[in-house]
Amino acid sequence: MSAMHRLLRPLYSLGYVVGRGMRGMAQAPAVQLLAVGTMAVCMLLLGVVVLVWSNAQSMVRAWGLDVPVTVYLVDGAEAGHVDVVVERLHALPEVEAVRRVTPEQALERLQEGLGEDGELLAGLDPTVLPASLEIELVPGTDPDFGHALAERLSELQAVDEVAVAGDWAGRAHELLATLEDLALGAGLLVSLACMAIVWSTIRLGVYARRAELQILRLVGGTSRFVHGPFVFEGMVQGALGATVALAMLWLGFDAVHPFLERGLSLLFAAGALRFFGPVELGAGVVFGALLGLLGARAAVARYAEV
Amino acid sequence: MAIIELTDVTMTYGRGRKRRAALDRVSVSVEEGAFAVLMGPSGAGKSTLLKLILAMERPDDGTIRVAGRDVQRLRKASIPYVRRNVGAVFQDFKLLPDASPMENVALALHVLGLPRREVRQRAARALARVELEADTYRPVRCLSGGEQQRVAIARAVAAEPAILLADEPTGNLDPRLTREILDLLAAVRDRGTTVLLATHDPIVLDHQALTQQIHLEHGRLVSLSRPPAYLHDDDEIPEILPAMWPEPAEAVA
Repeated sequence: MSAMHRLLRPLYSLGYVVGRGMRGMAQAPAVQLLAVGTMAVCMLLLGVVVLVWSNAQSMVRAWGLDVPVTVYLVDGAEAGHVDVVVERLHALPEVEAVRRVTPEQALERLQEGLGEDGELLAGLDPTVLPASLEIELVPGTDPDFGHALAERLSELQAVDEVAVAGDWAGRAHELLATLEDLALGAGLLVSLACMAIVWSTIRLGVYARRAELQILRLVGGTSRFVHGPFVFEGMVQGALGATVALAMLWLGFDAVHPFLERGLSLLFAAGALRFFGPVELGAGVVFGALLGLLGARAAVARYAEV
Repeated sequence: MAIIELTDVTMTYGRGRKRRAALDRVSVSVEEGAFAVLMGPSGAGKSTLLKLILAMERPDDGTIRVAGRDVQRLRKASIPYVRRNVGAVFQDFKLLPDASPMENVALALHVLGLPRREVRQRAARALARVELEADTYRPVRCLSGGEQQRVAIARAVAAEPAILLADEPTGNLDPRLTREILDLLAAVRDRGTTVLLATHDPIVLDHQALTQQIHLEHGRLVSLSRPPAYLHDDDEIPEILPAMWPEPAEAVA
């Protein structure tokens, strides 16, 4: 056996595993369709929750509710003065974080928030917007502290104006936290459901191909080689389920979002509803494939040890 | 040099009162390049002995060395690599009935991680060695018992193992086919593979290529100089013989 062949052997085995996995799926198309369809419905539910959470987060950010206190600095504020302000803020136990926002960053955010209309700001000089400091408070801090802090900050030489978000900023955060919990819960339930679906389908496949598995073992097939086609099958099921779910979600979003934006124009005044980006879509498909892999591995570990 | 070596191997099945020794302190060695036959009536422990060599079972006691490796000490993950060096022909053939002969033989080559073209070439060569055509796409279930047996042998030798185990390979065949299968196994031996054949069929003993005979009875080794009683007991022979060559249709089913 040549060195080249030894090197390529895992690839040839992978070729067999993929080919056998695909043939296995083709042998029971109805079961595959049922599995992918059920997974797609489960993942659609998860997708809806995550999409709502993601848009709620964007909206809170667009309204500036994620930052309870914003300090707008005077034009040409001296860096030394600003450093002193930041240092003093950091020293306060109620302050969790202080972020500096340059005029360029502020303009970029404004463009993002306006969505498609952001192009209207193209060419605008960023210096028309003031530099600012965004202050996050430790969760549970007394709401009056924000106002008291604002009063003291506005007396400083480098500070032009201080904006404090109202009590409803706290409520918006609570809503976000609830949505986040909901998304996590849905994610957990959907993950378990999807793994159970794949587990069940793979178990049927293992029973149907039991004789073949036994022969593969007897002629020297390793566990990885014998299990491989089933694991591949599970991954494909998971990825397909996620893809179908995302496609359905996109169709639904496309149909509904103009009505939502029109009906809730006040809410969306600072920005537009957004769908998942390419990275998030890719992560969704990979997540589906991962669930398929885990479900299939659990099934073969339990049933394919003939 | 012994390629298969069993020392004081004991193997029992069942528990309590149902406990039965399939093998009782059996010590056997098979020389490299031998054409050995393991004789004994049904229940003598022949299949158990083959299963132990293939690491399909673990003995209660004793040691088993196959091609210099202590089979009992192998990690589970290492067993497949030993099996690649030990081809096996089973009593029930263990073929995929809906697959073609080529596909059945190819299974033993795919596990080696060979490229598809080489798998086809080597499978075709193995089928040619047992005088079967490689381009037949008939499923195995449509072949006769003798042809199925040949496919099983082709699969067992396709990877050119050092050892070939055959469990009752002539059990369902008539005397003419039995001789053909034995000739095939002898040819496999001539190419350098050690053959260990388990059978209760006395016709096998007549084959000129045999180099070693091992007789088992009730899980114990009996010497060749004292042939087992069932070979000469006229009352028992008729019970054995009819089962040896059923109609081909039965063999296929």
